[in-house]
Amino acid sequence: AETMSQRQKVLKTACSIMYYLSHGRKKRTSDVQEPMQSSSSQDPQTSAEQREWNSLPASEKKRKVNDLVRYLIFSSSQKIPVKRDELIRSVMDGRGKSFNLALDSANQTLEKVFGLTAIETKKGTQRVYILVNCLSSDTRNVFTKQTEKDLSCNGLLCVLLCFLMMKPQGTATEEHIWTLLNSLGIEEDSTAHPIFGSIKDRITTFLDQCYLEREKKIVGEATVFEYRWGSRAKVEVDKRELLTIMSEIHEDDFAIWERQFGDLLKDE
Amino acid sequence: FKGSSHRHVKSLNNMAEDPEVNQHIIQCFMSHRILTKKQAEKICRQIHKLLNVEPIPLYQCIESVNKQIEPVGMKISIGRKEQDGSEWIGLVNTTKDTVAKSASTLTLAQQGYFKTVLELIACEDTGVSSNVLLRAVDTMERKLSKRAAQECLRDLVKEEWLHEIRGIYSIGPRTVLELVPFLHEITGIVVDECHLCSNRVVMGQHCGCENCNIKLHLYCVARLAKSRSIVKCPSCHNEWIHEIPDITIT
Repeated sequence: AETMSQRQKVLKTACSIMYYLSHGRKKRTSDVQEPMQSSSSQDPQTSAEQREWNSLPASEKKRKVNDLVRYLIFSSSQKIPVKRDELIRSVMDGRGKSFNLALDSANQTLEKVFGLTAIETKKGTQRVYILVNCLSSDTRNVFTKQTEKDLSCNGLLCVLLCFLMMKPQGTATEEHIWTLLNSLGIEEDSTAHPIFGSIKDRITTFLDQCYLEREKKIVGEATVFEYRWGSRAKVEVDKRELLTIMSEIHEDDFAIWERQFGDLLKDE
Repeated sequence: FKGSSHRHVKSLNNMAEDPEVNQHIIQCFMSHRILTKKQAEKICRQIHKLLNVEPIPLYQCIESVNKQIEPVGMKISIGRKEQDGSEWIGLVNTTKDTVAKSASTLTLAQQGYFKTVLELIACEDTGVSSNVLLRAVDTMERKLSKRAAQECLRDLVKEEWLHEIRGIYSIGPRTVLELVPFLHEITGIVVDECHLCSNRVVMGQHCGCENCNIKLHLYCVARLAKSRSIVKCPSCHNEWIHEIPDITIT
């Protein structure tokens, strides 16, 4: 059972995180990790890919690239990843081989014009794409619309990510997560939390958006769900920044979080 | 990934547009969707200041951004709110394809209801009462409860698709910018052109004369009245029969 002071400490953490998030903290974009699978720049382009792509007239190539940019932007408005298969079917008329080349061109436009980039990742067994912001984190949130609900959901997400980061192997069972949320005054049964609405739906959204990942594990006779950072979180959220916030809130020295610090250095 | 920590004031050759400024402008509009002209001007100034770039006038920035996003079927458009003539600026689609529809924050049922609402509003010179709009759920294919319809109307007003005053609904600035060009396609109703400014007009005033049936925006009528004591129809020159709207536009 958690003591009163522990509970207050966790609550204080959550509130401070929400405060910091709403006022935008400095983030060095050099810390953002490399794309997990850069589409075709790793392997030399196979002649089959080139041939299929070059079989199209220049105007057609241009149109496909623009359609790809448009499709990625519109389908990413809710941050739900887009399936590679869907993109190939809708934009490339089923020509899978030239997709990587088209995507490289599309990313050039996305980065130059919109300050975004499409990154490939995996959702279960599917290859999907998420749009990630390339703009510097100290300027990119200044002019965008952030409702109370957006900020609160961001805060909740940050609490969950921090919590997972502190765990050995970065995973926690669903039971542990609910213990954490209960200590913050969020009950599992509540479908109408005044700010978050249905918490279960909120967490499902985080899973859909690839901020969180969950794996089904059989432990003895029971099935448990294990949660960890999702691929979007790994690219968008700066662990160093998160740790700095945590240590500031707990008024500890950064170095006390030795294990996490060590992991961080390994990642960098 | 960009983001230098060393910023010095970037001086501009030939007033060239800074790509970083444009990226911030686009992301701002992708997030807000629509802003008043004053809000947009303020944000444009702030963006230049934050990025340490010599400020460029808003319209020039918009022109530069539009050149870049036009190939992708998007545009930053400027128009006037029908109720008071205020200028609004928003990010719109230039093509009405399925991809754009999927990005809508409305459910299919809500989209269907919005279409029905537009059909009712587009054939009136003034707004339509909420009673009429709510009764319309009975005629719809995709069933919607009255309460859901009321919530839908509330959301549409919040997102500036509709305007509501004292229970009367009319089209909002976002509809003016994004949907009015397609209104004939969506509703089958032909929308009049304002005789003075040649833009399409839904909420407005008709000349009273039998032979002259021109239509004017409320703010265009107000503009006629500015320097005259008696307002005359600009086409047939008879006295304007309607009450002159109390609107001052810049």
